[in-house]
Amino acid sequence: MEELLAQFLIEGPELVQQGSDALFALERNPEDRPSLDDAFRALHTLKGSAGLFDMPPLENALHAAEDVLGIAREGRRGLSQAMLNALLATLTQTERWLAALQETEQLPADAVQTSASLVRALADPAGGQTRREAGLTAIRYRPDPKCYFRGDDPIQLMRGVPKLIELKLGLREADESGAPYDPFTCTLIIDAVSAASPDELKAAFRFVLDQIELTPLESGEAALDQAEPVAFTEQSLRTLRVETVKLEGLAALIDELVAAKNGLAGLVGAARDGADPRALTADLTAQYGLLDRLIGRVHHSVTGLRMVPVTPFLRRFPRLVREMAAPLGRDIEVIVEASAVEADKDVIERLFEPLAHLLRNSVDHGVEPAEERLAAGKPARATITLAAEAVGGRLRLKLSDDGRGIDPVKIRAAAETRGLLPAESLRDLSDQDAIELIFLPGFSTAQSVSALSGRGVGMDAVRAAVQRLGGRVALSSRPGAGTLVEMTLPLTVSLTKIIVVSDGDQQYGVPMDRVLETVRVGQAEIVPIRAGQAFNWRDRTVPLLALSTLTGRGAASDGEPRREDRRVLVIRAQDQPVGLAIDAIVGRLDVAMRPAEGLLAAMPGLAGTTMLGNGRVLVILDPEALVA
Amino acid sequence: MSVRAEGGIIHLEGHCGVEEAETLAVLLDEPGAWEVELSGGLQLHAALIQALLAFRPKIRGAPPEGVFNKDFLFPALALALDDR
Repeated sequence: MEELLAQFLIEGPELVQQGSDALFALERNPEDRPSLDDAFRALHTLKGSAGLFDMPPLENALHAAEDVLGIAREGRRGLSQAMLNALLATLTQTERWLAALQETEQLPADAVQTSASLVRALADPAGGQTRREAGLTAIRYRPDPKCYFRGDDPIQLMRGVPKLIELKLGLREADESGAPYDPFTCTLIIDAVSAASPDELKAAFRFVLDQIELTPLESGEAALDQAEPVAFTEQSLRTLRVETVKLEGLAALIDELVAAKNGLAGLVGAARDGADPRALTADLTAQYGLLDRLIGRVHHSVTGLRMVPVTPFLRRFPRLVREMAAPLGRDIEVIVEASAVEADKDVIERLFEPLAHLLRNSVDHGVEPAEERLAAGKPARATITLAAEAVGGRLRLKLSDDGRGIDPVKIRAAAETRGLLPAESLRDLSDQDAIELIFLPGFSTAQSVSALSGRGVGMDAVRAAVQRLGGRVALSSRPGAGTLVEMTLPLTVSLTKIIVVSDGDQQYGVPMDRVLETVRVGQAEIVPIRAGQAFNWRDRTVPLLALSTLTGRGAASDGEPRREDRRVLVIRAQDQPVGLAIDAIVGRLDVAMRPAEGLLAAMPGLAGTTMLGNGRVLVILDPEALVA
Repeated sequence: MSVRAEGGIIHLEGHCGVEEAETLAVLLDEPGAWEVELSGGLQLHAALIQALLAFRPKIRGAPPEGVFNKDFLFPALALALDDR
């Protein structure tokens, strides 16, 4: 990649973030002159950089945004909410384009149209705004063929649809049987667009809910694709900004390492000249101690380089929430509480998806429509708060909303319907235990959860992701007042790649870096050597051991000849390859490995344990120690 | 009578209920080009709309009163019949 472009791709996402921080500040306080200046500077710099490359769509959109801010700075026109939204949409799109540039070094094919609609929205934000605030929903209504007999009149029903914007009529494909026209079999297909909320629409169609499909339409003209917010995040952390002072500390350590190496050179000379072995041993021991300390410190500072502040990461979410909320017509402010907590970049990167999931749940199910909020005596604008703090060497992330909360009664009912627990057990659960049922896999598979205003969409996935990082999730809620999700995670995590293998009815993890190769060995290729077995691997004879024998779970099957091929992990033990026969390879995982504790620690051949997404503990083997 | 045929023109008038759909379909199924006059049709049952879409006659007549009829139903009908 061209150096200039590479530079732009590092600096671009930061400018996008600065710009949107400033715009959110302006939204809270329209008189905030410094924020207006900040926003202008960010857009101005972005546009200037974009101009260095031949990318008119990017440049045009940024240029239009800069103009809007320029006019606002001169005080000729204020910034309406609509305009702020259009500016934020431009920044979000810019971030997407930057991610695309990172991948392919060019803008996506639809960039010209997307840019044009951004420019239109910036020129006439009110045009897009009515639609944006309303949030449009597409309705596809396929009346039941027998509906006329039940007295339904689909057209009359459409007459009652609130805030209708468009209506289209069609017929189902005529059957080819040539049967005469049956005036009483309904073949109508009705497509419509309405500006009413999904809830209002569901009320209008309450008797035929099984015959309609509601699809929220992309709001505004910017056609913001909300499909995969994940994709554009991973990119921005691919490069890491490091404070100079940290690097200087590291450089100083390297200097000391060089000095220690030179010290060793002197000792090598002394040894060659036949120095007194006892004096030499003492010197070597001292030098070893020095090197050991230095390397320890290098390790520590390098780990420190990976620590990044959490707040800037959290600041990315207000824009995301704005985008999620727009089609639903929800008005939500996201408050990110500033904090100085730093965490390992791996931890932060892997938190994006669970957090985005939780926020989507809040937007979809937690936050009520404005009318409902007002009726409940709450401000129309909902608030979601994101906060991070370090507690006892762990990172605690809190996400709270002031929405309708989770109703344990509904959760119990849903759990019963899904057969997750028998009714009497459900009755015995405390309310707190009941709302935690939403973490169960299978709770949220059905769409009806959203209809219930449940909050279970993918909560089991959230918990699994957090547990993979060695963390925990807790949920508390007061019906009517809101929901709080607390995630507690290690500040640093070293993720180990493992292969999950099965042997008999057991599963084990084997660290990937211990495995040279996984191979399939036919029975005919296995040759007995004395008491054991061996096979040929890359022109070498390699001993073959059965994992079940090594784990002491009986060697019942070993004596019997097997017909099928054996799955074999080739590992390295004492610099020799050794084959480890297993039943099957189940998969690969990145896991946070915990050292074996307590009784387990005394067992040879055990590297540690990890918690799987389903809550089970997986034992991770140290194959080398196992073989030895 | 809310479905009334006269001189090659079918008039839909007033409230046309589901039971009129058969009358309309039978008329439209007869050979010959019918025109359907909609200006008197205040409220047409879905089954009649469906028959119009199925037999694709010419439609004429200013849309009667009502936002739904004027802004949505008749434009949608005209568009669908115009389609092919």
